[in-house]
Amino acid sequence: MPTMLQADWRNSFARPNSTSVPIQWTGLSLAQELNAMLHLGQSYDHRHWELFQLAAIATQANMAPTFEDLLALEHVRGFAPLPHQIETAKRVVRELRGRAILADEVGLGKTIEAGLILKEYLLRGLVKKALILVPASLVLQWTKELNDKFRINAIPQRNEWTWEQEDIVVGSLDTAKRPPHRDIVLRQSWDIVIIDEAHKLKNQKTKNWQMANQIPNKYLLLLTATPMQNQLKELHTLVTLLKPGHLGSANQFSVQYVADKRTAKDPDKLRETIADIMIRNRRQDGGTRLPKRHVQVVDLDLSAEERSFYEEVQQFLRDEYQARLSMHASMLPLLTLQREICSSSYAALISLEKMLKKTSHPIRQERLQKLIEMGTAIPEYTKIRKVLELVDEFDDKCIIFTEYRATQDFIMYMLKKRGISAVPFRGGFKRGKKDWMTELFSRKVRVLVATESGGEGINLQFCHYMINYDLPWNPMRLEQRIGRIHRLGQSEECHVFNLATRDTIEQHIVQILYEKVRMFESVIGTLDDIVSDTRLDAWEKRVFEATMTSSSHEELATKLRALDPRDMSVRKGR
Amino acid sequence: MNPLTNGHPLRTSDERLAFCDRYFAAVGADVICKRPMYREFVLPIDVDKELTDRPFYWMWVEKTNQTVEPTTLRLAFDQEAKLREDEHLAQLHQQSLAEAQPLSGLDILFRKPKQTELVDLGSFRLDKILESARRRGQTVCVTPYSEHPHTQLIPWLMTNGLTRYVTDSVSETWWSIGVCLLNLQIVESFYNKIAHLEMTGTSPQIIVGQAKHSLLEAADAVTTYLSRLVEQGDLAWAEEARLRLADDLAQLDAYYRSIEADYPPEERDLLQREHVKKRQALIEKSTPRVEMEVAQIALIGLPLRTHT
Repeated sequence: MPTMLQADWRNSFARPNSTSVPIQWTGLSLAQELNAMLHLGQSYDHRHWELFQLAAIATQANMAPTFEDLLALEHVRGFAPLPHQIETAKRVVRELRGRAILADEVGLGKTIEAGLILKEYLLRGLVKKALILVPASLVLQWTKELNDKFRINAIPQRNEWTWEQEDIVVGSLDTAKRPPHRDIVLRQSWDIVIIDEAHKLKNQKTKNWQMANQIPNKYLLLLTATPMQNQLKELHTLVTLLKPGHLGSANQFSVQYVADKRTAKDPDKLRETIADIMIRNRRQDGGTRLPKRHVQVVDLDLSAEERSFYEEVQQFLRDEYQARLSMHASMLPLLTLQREICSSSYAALISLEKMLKKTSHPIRQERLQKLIEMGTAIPEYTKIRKVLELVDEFDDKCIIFTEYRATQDFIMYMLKKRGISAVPFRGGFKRGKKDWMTELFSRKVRVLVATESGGEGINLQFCHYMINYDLPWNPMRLEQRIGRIHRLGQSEECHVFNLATRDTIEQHIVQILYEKVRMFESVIGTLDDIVSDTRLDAWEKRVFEATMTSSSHEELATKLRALDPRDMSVRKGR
Repeated sequence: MNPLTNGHPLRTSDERLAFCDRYFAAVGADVICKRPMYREFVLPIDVDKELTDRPFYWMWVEKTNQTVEPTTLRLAFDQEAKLREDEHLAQLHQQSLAEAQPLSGLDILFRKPKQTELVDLGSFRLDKILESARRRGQTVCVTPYSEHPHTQLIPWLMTNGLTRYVTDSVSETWWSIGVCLLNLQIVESFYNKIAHLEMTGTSPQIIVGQAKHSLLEAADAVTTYLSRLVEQGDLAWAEEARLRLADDLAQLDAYYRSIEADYPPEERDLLQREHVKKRQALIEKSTPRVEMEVAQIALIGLPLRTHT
């Protein structure tokens, strides 16, 4: 430390500085304290000197010596943050300046990163009041984790007063946006706002987005594994929350960056611009040391009965579509039926029965009746047979995902009939029931049958097998499903089986999935092999076969023309 | 653990143990057990109030004139010590249960072995201890211990504190400034020059009695000196922060200008308010500023020879 011992220091400051910074005096008031020392007559002894020295140490101990080194690392308890989590927290503080999308793939510990950043700002005295908005079912889990791992005194939101009375509140966006909470939340001057599952803010017109946009904040973290699900525009919407104008206005953005809905015009430029505001760690980047995951598509052929039922339903859907088009009626039931028929005949049957109950048109009634008869006459379902086969093969715990309640009930029923223990899991379950089901699954039961909405926020690392009974139309949901087992803490390789029936819509879905995944990759980086790479291999092989087996140019051309990427699929079970 | 050599103290468990030993001795707590990396302290009431967070308990104690048993803190300074001592306490518990035959059902249900607590960085207890030390060590009036009282002492005002350079992040430096009350000379890092001395308490009146300048003059000199130090120091960080803020504001303004046309006139008011709010938040977050925190004040009488 430099020593300065000057008689006339006042004149030694010759060079005036061009920048001036406002100085604010805090802590003890010199005049007051000195006055008190002189006049209150306190006597001092050597113990006061000892305490004075200790106080000096205490002050220095709590100091933040640099702008960017993470103090939080010394304050976590019971675990060691992983290198990518530390790096992310550092970058957010140092480069992104506390406003960021944390877009790690599912299972890489976005919660830990957010906790580190929050703790860092708390330790630095830059944040007093913090708002953490998470899905209602995760409020307690977040609160517990912040308290246990980071010793952050987070309080779960209980009533309308919590927002105001507590400094660090964990609540749900759904509650926060409703009166009377809304106004109270908007009135607080939050230093930091953290929003988990931020992909729910992808539409600027929704109440969710508008609420998020109104909440006062200085620092803002948006957590999502899927910053963009369907369209590039969604990315713009999220970024606008963090840094309005960073990607221009919505119009400027679409002119500058969007080629079509799903394809970026200039992926490199977009990626660069986004790097200032988003951090995405991927499993394959290493350092995270997750065991391998094997994703395979299990292609299935429908039985003759199933096939004719499927085709009849398709025909019915097409006719209905035309009819509804002319009547401007809602297409939603058809869409549902279309998706259900992909999931299971059983699910479709329930919808058909509902339709039958509603209709009063005799011809329509007759047709529906016939369809239902066809469906119920199916002696055996191909998919469930495959599932039972697979479950037998695994000889281990297994999670089965489906999008539909009806399919879930059906799977549960079939498993029980087979004598295989199983528990259901749904988004609608209360937290306690979810925990209980998870507990049962981890200790006693072999199979967990979960619906889509039940997927968020549950960790099932003790399970290594997953069957996707149907494929979600959105690839990111598939990623979230897989992330339930393939995440930090998983010690063994994971096996994921995606069931897809040949020559049905499901194959088209896989095709569309593909395109979406590419869009996602073009901006954010590659996704894991959600749609397995064997498809590409198969394509190359077919082209190779065609060239080898053709005796003339014409024949080759015909064969190549006949090749359709939608037919490219590996044989089941690899 | 030496504050003279370590700018960021208490990073190791040894330092924390030594600190706590000194602290509890200084506040008059009894040590009833001392094993490697482990201590048991019995707290005097005033210390108890500062280190345990239970204001309602104390209110009740005082209102009802209770005499309560003093709190014993069982502090482990590393994981190994914690495991060892917890096991030891569990054994003691078993013994006492065995001796207390016959046991009532209540005993079995509610008597639990005592637990130690781990004192590490960020633990509740250490935070409380540091807070208590900071509060108790704010002011002091001392002179070096000597068998022959000095006839003439040079009076000094020492202030210690933190400079916080704040933008969207913060960086802090600790300083200690001494001002001679005879001639308003300023000495930097004053504390480091005297920290090794064995001190004894003295009365502020005696120190001030030797002064030629008033305490207010000296205080003024400190604040002026520190302000100048900031102004003359490296302000690149502030310049950078200011440019960044200007950039951010320009981007924000451009954004709101560009979307204004998309809104019907009756909604523009709302939009403008949103714009103003976001501007305000940005300014609040990123404007560079300096906070000077005065943490400690000392009056010190130094004999001529120790003053170098």
